[in-house]
Amino acid sequence: MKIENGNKLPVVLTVYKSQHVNIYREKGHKSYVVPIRNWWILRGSELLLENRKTGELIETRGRVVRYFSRLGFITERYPIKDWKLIKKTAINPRWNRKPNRGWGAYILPLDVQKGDQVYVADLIENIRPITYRKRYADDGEGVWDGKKILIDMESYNKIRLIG
Amino acid sequence: MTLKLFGNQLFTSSGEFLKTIACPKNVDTDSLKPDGDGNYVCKMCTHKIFNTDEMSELELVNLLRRHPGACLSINLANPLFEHSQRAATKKDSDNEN
Repeated sequence: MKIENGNKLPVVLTVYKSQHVNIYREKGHKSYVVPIRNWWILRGSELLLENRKTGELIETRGRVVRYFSRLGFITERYPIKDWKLIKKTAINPRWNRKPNRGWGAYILPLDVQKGDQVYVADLIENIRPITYRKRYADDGEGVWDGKKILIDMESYNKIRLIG
Repeated sequence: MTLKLFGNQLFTSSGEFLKTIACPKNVDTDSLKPDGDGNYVCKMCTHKIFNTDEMSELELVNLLRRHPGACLSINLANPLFEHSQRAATKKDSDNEN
C-alpha cells in the first residue's frame, strides 16, 4: 500500500547491500542503517475460500474473523458448509520486500538539511497505520532530524475524498 | 470484500451504485472538526461527515442505503476501497442512480 510522492518531496533511497552504501557515502550522501526487526513475527496464514453456491472467492485470515469497529465487534463467519477451502498459504505482509539480510540503509539526497521533509519510497520499518487495517505501509513521508528520518503518521491520512 | 471507487463514484463489490463522493464546497481535511464520536463536523456547512476509516463494507453500505445523502470521509489508502481513476462504465454497474 503506497501513498506515493504527491508532495514532490526529496526522495530517500533504500539499499540493501554494503557496497551500495559505500558508493553513496563516497559521493557525499548521508546514510544510516536500519535493522529489519522481528521479520518472522509478521508471518501469518491466509485462507483462499470459494463460496459453494456463487463461486465467489475470498481471502481471509480464518473461518471466523473478528475485528473491532466503532460500532463494536464485527464477526465474519465462513462455515465449511458454505465456503470450500481452495488453499491455505503462509504469508508475510512484507512479502514484496527485496532480499532480506536483516537490515537496510536509507540514503539521503545530497542537499537535504535537518528539518527537511522527505519521501521514503521503500520503508524498512514495519509501520502499520490504523487506516491500513493491519496492512503495512510500503512508503511514507518524514522529517530528517539530522540523525534519522521521523516518519509522519499523519501523511497516511492526507489522501482523502470528502463528500 | 472491497468497495469499488471509480473516480469519485462508489459501488458495492457486486456493482450496486452507492454514491458520488462530491462536496459542493470542495472542502479538505482542514475543514473537518472531530465531533467526539469518531466522526467529523464540517466547518463550512455544519453537516456530519462520517469517518469510514474503521467501517466495514456492511456498515457503510447500510449507512448509505438508510441515508443516501450522508457525507463521507474516505482515506484512499484504506484497503476497503479499491480505487480506480477511470470513470465507471455500464459494465461496472447495473444499477446506477
